[in-house]
Amino acid sequence: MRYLAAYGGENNVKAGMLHYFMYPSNDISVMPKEFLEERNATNHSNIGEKTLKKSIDIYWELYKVKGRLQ
Amino acid sequence: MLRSKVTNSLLANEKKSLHRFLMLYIIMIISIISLISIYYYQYQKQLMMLNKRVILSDYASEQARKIKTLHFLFPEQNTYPRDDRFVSAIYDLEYQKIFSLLKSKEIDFNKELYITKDKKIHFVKVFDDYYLGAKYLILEIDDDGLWLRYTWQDIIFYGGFGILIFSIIGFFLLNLFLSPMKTSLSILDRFIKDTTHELNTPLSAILTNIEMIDLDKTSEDNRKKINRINIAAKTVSVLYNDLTYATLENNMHSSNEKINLKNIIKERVEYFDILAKSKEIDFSLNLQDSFLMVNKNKFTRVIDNLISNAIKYNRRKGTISIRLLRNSLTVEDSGLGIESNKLEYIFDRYSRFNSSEGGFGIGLSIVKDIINEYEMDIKVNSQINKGTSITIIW
Repeated sequence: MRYLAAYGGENNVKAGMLHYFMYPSNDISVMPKEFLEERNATNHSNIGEKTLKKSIDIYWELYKVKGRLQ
Repeated sequence: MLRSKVTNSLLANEKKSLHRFLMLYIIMIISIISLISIYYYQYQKQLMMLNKRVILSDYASEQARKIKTLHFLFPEQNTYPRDDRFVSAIYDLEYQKIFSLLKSKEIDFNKELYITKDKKIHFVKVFDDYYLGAKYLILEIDDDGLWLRYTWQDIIFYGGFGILIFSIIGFFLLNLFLSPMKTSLSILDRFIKDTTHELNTPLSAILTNIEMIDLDKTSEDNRKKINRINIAAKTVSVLYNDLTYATLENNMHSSNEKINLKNIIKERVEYFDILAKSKEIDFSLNLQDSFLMVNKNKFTRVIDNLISNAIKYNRRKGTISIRLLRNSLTVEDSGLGIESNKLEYIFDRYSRFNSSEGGFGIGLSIVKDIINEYEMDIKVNSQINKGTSITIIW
């Protein structure tokens, strides 16, 4: 929900997440400062862009709001 | 105040001008009032929108708070917040619908407040944070159209009242402006009428006395002089009759009677004989019996004018051929002719094509008026230096 609140639309969220996982940094993280101080930013991913995109797509389908509100 | 027929005729023109002025004035006033109405409508619409904006802005803030709360409770809670006062929808920044209860599909993300074609008012609130992934919150309420009804009522009532007041003012103003013109015209009319009337008595006296002179007992020299007086008096008489007709009689109600044109033509040819003889013009008559239901005086004006023109514009020792058939009358002269480009103007009042001859140029205009009154046709053929032929068909 943090990504959604920060990036808005589906494409934006997916692009934002992909960019973060490719180039993780505290500066661009959407997580709160306290969280980052405790756990620091995620390490650089080695799983490749293609796999990342797929994972993000799965994540999006799992947490999207669209179609779930009543 | 006595008014002659001329005055009536001129007043008819005045009335025409008055109506034109009023029409122009009313069109102008209607245009001004329409313009004011448009501005008034726009103003009322803006006023209504302003009121709605204040209300809807409050609703939107309320709804935004509920959405924010839902954002943090989602997905455990997934019921979109509803309100009896409005329906709403949320869209993401890619204009994709997240959830919508809107009845109207017409959404304009670039406007804050607008009315849809299906009479719904939409208010668009843009979020800074994308709670539930929403960038746009759209609120929808019904446009009851009350403001529009009241606006139209105001426009019709005050607009109509304005038109009425301005029309009355315009009418009085016009009368005020026309007043000096009316006075001048009345004076001119009375002068023309009195002058025409005063001509009648001496003219009749001259013509009657000439008829009474026994030409056999007068010397050759005096006979010639009397003939010249007779010709001059008859010329003036035709002019007098035309003037009287043009100024007095043409507006009068005339009674029709069955007349034999053959008899009238013979009588008028005899009357004009002395004028024709002065130019050594011969008449050639081919007259059949032809009966018409017309006013005798009026049709005499037609025949007089045709014959006097044929004499006036003929050459010396020329001929005038008058042919009367059951449904047509042709008067043909052997005179100067009229140029083809001037033919269409010969029936216009005061148009004269030969300055060497006298007259006011009203003769053929009178002929045309009478012919039109009886719904007859008139045809003119003319060749320069060969002559002119005028045919009336009924």
